[in-house]
Formats: sequence, structure tokens, C-alpha cells
Amino acid sequence: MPWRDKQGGSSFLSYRRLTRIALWTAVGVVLAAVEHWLPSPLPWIRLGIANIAGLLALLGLGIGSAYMVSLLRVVLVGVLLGTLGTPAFLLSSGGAVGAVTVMALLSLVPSHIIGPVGLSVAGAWTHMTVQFTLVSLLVVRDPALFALAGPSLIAAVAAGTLVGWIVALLWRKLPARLVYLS
Amino acid sequence: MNLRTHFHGDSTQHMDTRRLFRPGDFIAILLFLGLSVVATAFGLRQEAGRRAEVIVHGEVVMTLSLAEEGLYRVQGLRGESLLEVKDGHVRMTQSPCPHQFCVRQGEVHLRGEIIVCVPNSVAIRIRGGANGEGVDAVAG
Repeated sequence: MPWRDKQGGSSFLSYRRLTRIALWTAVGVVLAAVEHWLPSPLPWIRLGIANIAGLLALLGLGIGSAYMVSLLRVVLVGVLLGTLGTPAFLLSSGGAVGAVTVMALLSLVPSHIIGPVGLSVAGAWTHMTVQFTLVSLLVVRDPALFALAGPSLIAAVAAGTLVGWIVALLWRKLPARLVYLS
Repeated sequence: MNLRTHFHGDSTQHMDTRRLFRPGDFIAILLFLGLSVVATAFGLRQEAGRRAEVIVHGEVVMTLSLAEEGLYRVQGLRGESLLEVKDGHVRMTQSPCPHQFCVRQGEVHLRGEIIVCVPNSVAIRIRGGANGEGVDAVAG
């Protein structure tokens, strides 16, 4: 059963999994704070470095944990920024769900074929697409907005490549007992 | 599924799981870059618009003629946004949002161009090209 820890835990939320989920959630919140603080040169362009934590969780802990890490981060950042319940919060949570779903599906492809870079690019692109869809549904109610999505999507591919490369580097350097359950 | 073998790779089978960039990564980059470039090409419509629709939470609340200069106030989700029509262009001059993306975006005038302020749920959309369509009534 994929929801059970093979390494001694009895249920999905074993202490080992819990501590690692907490670790990556905390790392994600800090990265989101750093990104929030960094000046953004243009609207509609974001680096998405918080996804480093989500990707490490996905690679090391699996799909369920990746959802938990990403969604907990979005909620915590929403609480910290006071955006809970606003359109902005809906955008970030929608983007996160979309991105993790696509990355989770791609993570089922053997890892010698597709690595962190591919997952990250697909996730960043999906994140941006979902956000544009939600904006056009909620704020503008006009599909014409998609005509303006192009440059942001190109930027998302670039940002996703950078984030994936960082994750691939970290994946080499981080000790296995930190990223895995055992 | 044993994640350790899956992601860190079984060294007897393939050493290439330690590569930073793997074949599928390049395919993903090219695929999504291609889709984005196609989207950008579709978005390039260089036709000046005639009027600007002001949208608050999905509803068109005002339609402004780009030929008439003026300053306008719009009540959004957080507060009042100020917009300015000048020289056939429209821009957001003031907005009660944290990042000020909408203000920093500057002016728009091409058909289909949009300024969106998500926090205040206010959007400005350019409508009406040079050929036809611009006959529509301009309401205050």
C-alpha cells in the first residue's frame, strides 16, 4: 500500500513522515517569504522558489506528502499575509493544486527519463495557466486574458528550469536520511 | 513503490538518475516553451482600441471612450482605484493593493490589452478595433 511507510511506520502520518512534512513546509514558508520580499521586476512573473520544498517532498516522500507540504504552505502564507479568503488566496491555492497534480503525475515516469527539472517546468507552467484561468473566470470573465498569458508562460518555463536545477543540485547534496523516510 | 530506488536510482541499472538534466527534462522545456511561444504569437494583436471597459468583480461597471481624456474613480474590493485616460491610452494611477502591479504596468491602448488588479478585483480591458465594432455606444 503506497500510503503506508515501509520503514517501520504503521500509518501514513508516522512521526518520521510528520517531521519531514513539517520540515519542508517550514522551508517552503521561508522561501515564500524570501520571494515575497524580493523585488519583482514585472507583474505576472514569479520565481516560485517555494516549490523547491514541494518538489523535495514529492521526490523523497511521495505524492500525498507533496500535496500536504504545498497546501499547508499556501494556507500558512495566506495567514501570514492576511489574504485568506480573498481572490489572491484562491489564485495561489488553485495554482498550487494544479502544479502538484501535474508534478505528481510526471513523477510516476521513471526518474532516469524525467528528473526534477522536467517536473518543475511542468509545475510552473501549470501554476501560471491555472492562475490565468482563475483570473479570467473570477476577475475579468473574459477569455481574451489568455492572449496576454504568453510572456508570463515563457517566464514560467525559465523560472521552472531554474528551480528544477536547484532541486536537482540539492538532491545530490542532501543526505538520503533527510529526504527519505528512513 | 520503493521511492528510494525510484528516485535515487538503482545504480546497477542506470547511473543517469544523477544527471541534473535528463532527456525528458529537455522534452518538457521544449514542449512548454513551444506552447508559450504559440500563446504569445496569438496575443500579439497590434490594433489600437477605442474604448476601455472597467470591470469590478466580473461585472462591467463603466465604459470609457479612449478619445475623451479624464480621471475616473472605481470602487473595488479593497477601496478606490483611480484611472486616467490620456492620449488614447488608459492607465491605473492609484490602487489600494500591496504590490502595485496594476499601477506599474503603465498604460495600455491595444485591443485586448488588460490591466488586472487581483487584490482590488478591478480590471481595465481595451475593446473596439479600428474596423467596425467601435460603433457601440459609449456609456458613462
